[in-house]
Amino acid sequence: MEPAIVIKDLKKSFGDKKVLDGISLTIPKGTIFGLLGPNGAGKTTSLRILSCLIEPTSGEVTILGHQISKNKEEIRKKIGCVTESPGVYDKLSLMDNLEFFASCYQIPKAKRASRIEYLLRQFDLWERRNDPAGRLSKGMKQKLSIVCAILHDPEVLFLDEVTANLDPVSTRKLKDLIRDWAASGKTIIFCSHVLAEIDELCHEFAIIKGEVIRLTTPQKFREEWTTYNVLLDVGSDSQKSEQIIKASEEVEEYKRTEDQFHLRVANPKTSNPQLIKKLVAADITVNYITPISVSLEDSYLSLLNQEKEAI
Amino acid sequence: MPGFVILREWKELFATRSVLITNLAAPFVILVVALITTVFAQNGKMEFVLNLMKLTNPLLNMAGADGHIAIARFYFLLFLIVPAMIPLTFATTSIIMEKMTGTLESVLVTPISTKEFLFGKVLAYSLPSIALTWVVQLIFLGFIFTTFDNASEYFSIVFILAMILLVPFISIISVSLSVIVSSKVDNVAAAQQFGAILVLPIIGLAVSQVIFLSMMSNPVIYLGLVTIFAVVALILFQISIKLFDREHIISKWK
Repeated sequence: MEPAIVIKDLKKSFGDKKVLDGISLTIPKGTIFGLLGPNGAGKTTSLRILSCLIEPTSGEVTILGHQISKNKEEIRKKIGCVTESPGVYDKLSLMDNLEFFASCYQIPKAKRASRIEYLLRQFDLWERRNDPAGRLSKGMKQKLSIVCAILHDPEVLFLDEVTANLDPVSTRKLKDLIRDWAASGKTIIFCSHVLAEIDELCHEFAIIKGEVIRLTTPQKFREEWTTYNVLLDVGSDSQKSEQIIKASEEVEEYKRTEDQFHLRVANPKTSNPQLIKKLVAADITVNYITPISVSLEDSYLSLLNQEKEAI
Repeated sequence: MPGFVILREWKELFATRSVLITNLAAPFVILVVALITTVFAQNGKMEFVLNLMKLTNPLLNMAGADGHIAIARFYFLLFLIVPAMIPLTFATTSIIMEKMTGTLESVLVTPISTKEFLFGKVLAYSLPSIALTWVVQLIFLGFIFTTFDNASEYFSIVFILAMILLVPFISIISVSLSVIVSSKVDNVAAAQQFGAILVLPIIGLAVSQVIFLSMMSNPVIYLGLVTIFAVVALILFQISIKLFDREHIISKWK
């Protein structure tokens, strides 16, 4: 797939403080790409470099075929950026804010009115269009800042903690929109501390801590940190059950807790029916058997702990 | 021409009417004081004011019976403080507030150039102060020329023209300095302090020019000063663009 963003050995220092120490990533077009990392890991700095706000110390970034060191103006026309704190003018009305940003993005006047109305309606802000932005709730302001950033229909969108102030309904709506944008070929870089969101939305993600310490997909990452992937509950005769489980070739590893067994099997879809057959044949009541997986958050925390121990 | 930046700045200004009115009232206060002082001095009712002014301005000693017109000329020059003071206050606050509220970051990711953004800000704050000063200067000139027969002896065409032309340049110098200050300090409090401290030398400079100019009558000196101010304004604006370091403001401001 054609890359939207190519980052090569990106380094950034502020004085003596090294924030990024050689980040390299290739993000294909139409991807929702997550950026994760502990506080101070360099996520915001990375986003600021990608959105042409600050210069890298060394390394190169290419966005949609344009090198950031050579063609910032062209890149700025094609990107949108939403930060955690909504950067909108409180004293201006929603319409005035959007008119201003439409001018910044050089949107032709003929197209502005319809585009603004469409987006304000999409984000349920149309009724408040003449109110000063300062009178909006935090969530509504966040929605306004999203509208400001996507006015020009950017091909690459940087979203930094965008759902922080949104209510569950708006969050759901935004997630659906993000999926739609990606489906239409837009590339989304999504930063969030809510790992469930990364899990739910992102096709791929990178964990950074000055450098990329992991580049993977949410599913692969969870699997990597999952010791047991099946939970089996038997009604009685757990000793007999244990003997069968121990002898069963489908089970790679297991842990018993009274009548429950945590199992690691190669493929739950094919292994579970086989195991049930064996247990039932031995007159053992199977209450339930269900796949289990660790959350992305657990996996992420395990990785960070491992990193910490390695240091 | 960054008309949309100017328009946005003005809309924000109009939304904070109390600050706007306070600042816009200042030149009219100076105008009223100038008119009252000149009229009273003419009627000999404010001799003590005239005597006080004679201490700072030797020209008045030479003026003799025309002391009141000399006072008028002094006040006419004093209006030059307006284009220095008003935009400086607004421009420094404007950049600080943009950083504090996060709008600066939102704007700087758009294709707008630094030059366009800053030029918009400079014009947004310079234009009203220039217009205001010219209005005040015009009202005062109207008063002088309709009240005093020998006004043209003290208010030659070249002198008036020089004073009018100085207004935009002083204003641009003032805004450019405020941009330079906003770009170089690393926090809001320091920016505000520097802004305030910067007001004093600029006003000091304006006042010293007032006194200096009020003693001169050579048109070449007037036009020379206009040229110097024009060059300084242009250089400072260019410096302010160069020093408006997006990275410093974005990453180091608290």
